[in-house]
Amino acid sequence: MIVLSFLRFCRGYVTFTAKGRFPERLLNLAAGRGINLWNPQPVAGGITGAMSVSDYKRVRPLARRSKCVLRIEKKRGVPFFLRRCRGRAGIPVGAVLGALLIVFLSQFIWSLRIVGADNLSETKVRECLAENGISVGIYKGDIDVDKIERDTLMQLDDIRWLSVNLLGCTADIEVSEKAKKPDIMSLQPCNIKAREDGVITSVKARGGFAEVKEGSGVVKGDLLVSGVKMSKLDTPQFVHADAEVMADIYSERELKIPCRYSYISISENKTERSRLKLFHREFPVSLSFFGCENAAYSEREQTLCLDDTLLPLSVRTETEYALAESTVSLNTEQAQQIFRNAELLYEVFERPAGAVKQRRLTVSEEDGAYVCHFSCVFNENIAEPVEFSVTEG
Amino acid sequence: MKKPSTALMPDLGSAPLLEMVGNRRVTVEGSTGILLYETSNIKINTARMVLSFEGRGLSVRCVSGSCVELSGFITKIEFLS
Repeated sequence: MIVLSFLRFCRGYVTFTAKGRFPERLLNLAAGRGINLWNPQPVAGGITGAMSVSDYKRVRPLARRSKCVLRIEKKRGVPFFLRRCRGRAGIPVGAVLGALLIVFLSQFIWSLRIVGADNLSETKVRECLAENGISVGIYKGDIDVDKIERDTLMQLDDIRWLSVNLLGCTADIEVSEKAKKPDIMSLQPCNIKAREDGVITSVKARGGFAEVKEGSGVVKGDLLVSGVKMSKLDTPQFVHADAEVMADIYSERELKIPCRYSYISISENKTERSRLKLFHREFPVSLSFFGCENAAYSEREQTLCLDDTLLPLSVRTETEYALAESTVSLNTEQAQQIFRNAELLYEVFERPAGAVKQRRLTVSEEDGAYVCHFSCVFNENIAEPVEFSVTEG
Repeated sequence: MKKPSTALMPDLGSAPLLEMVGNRRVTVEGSTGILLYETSNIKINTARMVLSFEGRGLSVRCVSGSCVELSGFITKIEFLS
């Protein structure tokens, strides 16, 4: 029905009213001569209906024969529009060019939407898809959906399945990530051994048989809790040892910083350059040029978005930051502050589970550099399960 | 084989063919013209009789040389000869 309405609109049609003595006869005569008349409706003293422009010329003599007076109510369609624009050729030409432009642009992918990549990097998926032949601005006729899905699945290990759906100019990429394997607690027979050297402060054995006591000194690899016990019948019993063995661990580190050093930093001096991007084509917007010898670059892209649909029009801005070299001379206080910060970072990131019981920091100056000696005592769990085979000799 | 009596079989060649969808739509084949077109009554001429459809909101959906399609709420059909 929509196609029929569109065709009628293209050909042009009129809605008319026929009033007179025998409006039904007009319908019969028109039908007899093969004149297509649609939507006839009775009105007071006549009928209304619609017909194409060419048929309206043919129906006039029939109206006279049926003693009816025809009157056009509305004129609709392309021919009437063109007639109105007779003196202004630009309007129909522009309309045609606009229609052609829409047809042309609808042959390309305008935006790429990735759905379902919660833990997976969206950028990584986009890069992989671009390598396999689908990205913004690509011709839709060149897209082989099956091949893209197959190749992307082969390249990205974290994806269980992937579906490429082309909806108009938007490519919807539905991704399903692989479920992570759950941590299964092993119940294999095992011993608990020392992960580091230290002095035991407490032993809580939930499984197995403790081999050390509070106050015992242990070295890395020493047996703390055994998973083997001999029974009264002199047969070995194997169990899964599980324990929390807290120990004081002595840690010593040395750091060195030169008293005078130079470093490179980003200065205030920067230059911005913008480009207008339409599909893959870029057009310069600003006339600035980059000229620094040593510089750092950053890039940001703002894409035009209309009703949740990304359009293939964006502005890409590149910024060049000039790099400056600075020289710093440290005094003892500054060096101490730097060492203290470094030590705090070490405690937070390297030993997050350990509680600091004792901390000592000494700074000295040797050969044009500050040397720092750290000595710390951490209290932490040193239990490390080590599985063993019951068939071992 | 015994032939059926022709006296029992009237000539149906020129009779109109009516196809109805409930009481909402009817197609008449064998029409020779519309005699009356109103929203409450439509009369269609055929070779042998005049068909009269009464109802509410009646309208002609399609007209061709020998076929008329009506729609609306049909309450009564009369065969006038």
